[in-house]
Amino acid sequence: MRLLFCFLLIFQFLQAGAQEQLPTVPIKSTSGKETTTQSFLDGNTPVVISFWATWCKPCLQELDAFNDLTETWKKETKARIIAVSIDDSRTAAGIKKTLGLHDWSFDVFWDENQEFKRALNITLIPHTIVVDKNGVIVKRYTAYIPGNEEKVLELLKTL
Amino acid sequence: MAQSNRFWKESRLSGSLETNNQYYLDNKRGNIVAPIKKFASNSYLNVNYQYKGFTAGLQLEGYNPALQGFPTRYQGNQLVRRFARYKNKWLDVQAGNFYEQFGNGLIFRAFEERSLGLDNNIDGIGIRLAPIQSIKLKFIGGRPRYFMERSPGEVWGVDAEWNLLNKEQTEKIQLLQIGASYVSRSMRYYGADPRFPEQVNAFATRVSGQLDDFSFSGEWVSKSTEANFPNDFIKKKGRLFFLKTGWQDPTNRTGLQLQFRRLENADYKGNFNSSDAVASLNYVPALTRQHTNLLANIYPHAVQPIGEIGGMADLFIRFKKNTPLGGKFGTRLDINYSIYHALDSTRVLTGEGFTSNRFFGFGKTKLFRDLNLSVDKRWSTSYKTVFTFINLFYNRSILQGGPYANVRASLMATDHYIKIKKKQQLRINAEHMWVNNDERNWAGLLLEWSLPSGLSIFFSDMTNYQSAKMHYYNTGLALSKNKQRIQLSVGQQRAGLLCVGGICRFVPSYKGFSLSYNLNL
Repeated sequence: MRLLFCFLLIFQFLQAGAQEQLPTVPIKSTSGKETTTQSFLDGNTPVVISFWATWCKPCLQELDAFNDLTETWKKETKARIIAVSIDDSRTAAGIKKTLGLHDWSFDVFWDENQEFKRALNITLIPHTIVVDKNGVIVKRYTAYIPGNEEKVLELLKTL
Repeated sequence: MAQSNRFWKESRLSGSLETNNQYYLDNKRGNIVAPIKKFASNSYLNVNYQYKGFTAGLQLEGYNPALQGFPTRYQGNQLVRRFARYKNKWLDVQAGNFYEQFGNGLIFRAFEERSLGLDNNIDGIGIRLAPIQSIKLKFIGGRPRYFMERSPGEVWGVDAEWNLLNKEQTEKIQLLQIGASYVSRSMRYYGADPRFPEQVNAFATRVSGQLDDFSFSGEWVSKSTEANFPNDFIKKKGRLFFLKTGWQDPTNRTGLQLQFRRLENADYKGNFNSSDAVASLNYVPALTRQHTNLLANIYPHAVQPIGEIGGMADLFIRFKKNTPLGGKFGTRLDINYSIYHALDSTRVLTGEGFTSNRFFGFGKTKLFRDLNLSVDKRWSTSYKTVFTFINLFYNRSILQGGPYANVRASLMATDHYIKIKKKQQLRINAEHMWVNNDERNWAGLLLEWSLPSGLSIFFSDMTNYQSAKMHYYNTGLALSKNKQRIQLSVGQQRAGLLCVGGICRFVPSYKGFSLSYNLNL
């Protein structure tokens, strides 16, 4: 335990110098077209990336909450919202159905073998990251907490 | 000095820590006996380093000992993954332990699913090439993970994918993609059979595409003779066929999706002595609805790779707002149906075990059938309900193994989401399942209260009130704060997917205390 604590301290010290950049990994559109995560950035717009799955109820709740705020977001920030599904072939057929049922107004991508999730060291979903216009990850949220969407909006206003 | 500063600025260390701990208690009434070691712990530490296109990383795992429900061969503390990777626009090379997937994963998929104790990463070399934008090539070679070691089986494979048509605009989508894969596994055999297939070769071809509102995809895998522990060492060729097609109306309010899959000796093992999903080279999941209800997970379909034929249909309708069926906030209707049979086959006394009669023929033995109907309706900005009806058939003697009668069950569930003071949420989930035999009827209840501070308090109970009258309860609290999450609970749990505390995860069965902690570094 002591060893782990020392490790975490050293780790935090080593991390202090650099900012976490959005990793570049291949990702698919829900139609199957391949692109990379760099396409999320245009050098001008902050991005909110939310990881979800068709079987994850809190994930769907979080994305519905984001969707409800879309009009407010558009007025108050130019940020782009991206939902990344981590469904594998067990449940991937449900992605399009979920999109049809929920009618989210934002872009959805498919992390087919969870390479993007792994590159970000995500262990639980829902997991939301806020990325500034330069591709630097400025905040992470693990789990869905009702009202989180407003915290994200407040943060985006400062970016 | 400036160069050193730049290097420092562009370098990045990241990682994650996950630890799941349980303290077990006895429950003599339910015949649940705590293991000799009352405390068990699964921990995972990931560290990644990145500098421009170069990445390196490692993963430490500790099982002291492994949680109940995990194979006992997961034990001790060990460095289970280390890798170095370089990638640019057209080349991606990984050395060490890596993950990869060819096509739909029916021929090859290396992945990690910690909650299920699955990690078949390949220790070797993986290369991805994109010589031109429309063509992608992959090469893998190495040995899959087998618990805390490497499998004695060696695997190598290639995959090619060609995007023939690639237009995706807001209104018009035209995609056409074809692909082919080859995966070979060889493993030394020390037994008495001179004709044991030490080397197995598998070929796959696939196609997928979309034309506006219509999509399709299919894959065919053909495998040379394979004998392994799960197929009772019969020497049989393998065939896998998968077809999926879907349509959605242009307004995206209605859609239909159909999937068909036929499996015949489909398990492709990285180690032919492996008894379960550990060290599988391909991924053949159950293509049924992934239930998130408390009780529906009591009878999940267990895929039968040795021989199974069937499919799944999904239909959805999103009713317009401000209509009689849609109401003020709209209504969502979701219908799902799946059915699986054994193959139409004949047993033979040769080493092949059985031969199939008609390729698309459904055998007389029904394995599983599942009808799901779900209506999701929001009544106001602060109140939403989800009503679910499930009717299922479960061939218990085949899916669980043993002299059991078939199970027929119907389930009704209501989920209520109530917002209190805008940022607090109360969730009430009440369920009842009628079962014709086995443990007879079940009732279930879940309460969850989420607060804006990130604190969530939950209680759930499910009971087979007509038979053993056991209570499978779970109560506790979870606190999430940015990069961290901690959860403490006490209960007696059946294995299954549990969605509480703002997340979803698979949990093994146990009685006792549980403490989980997750941190992103």
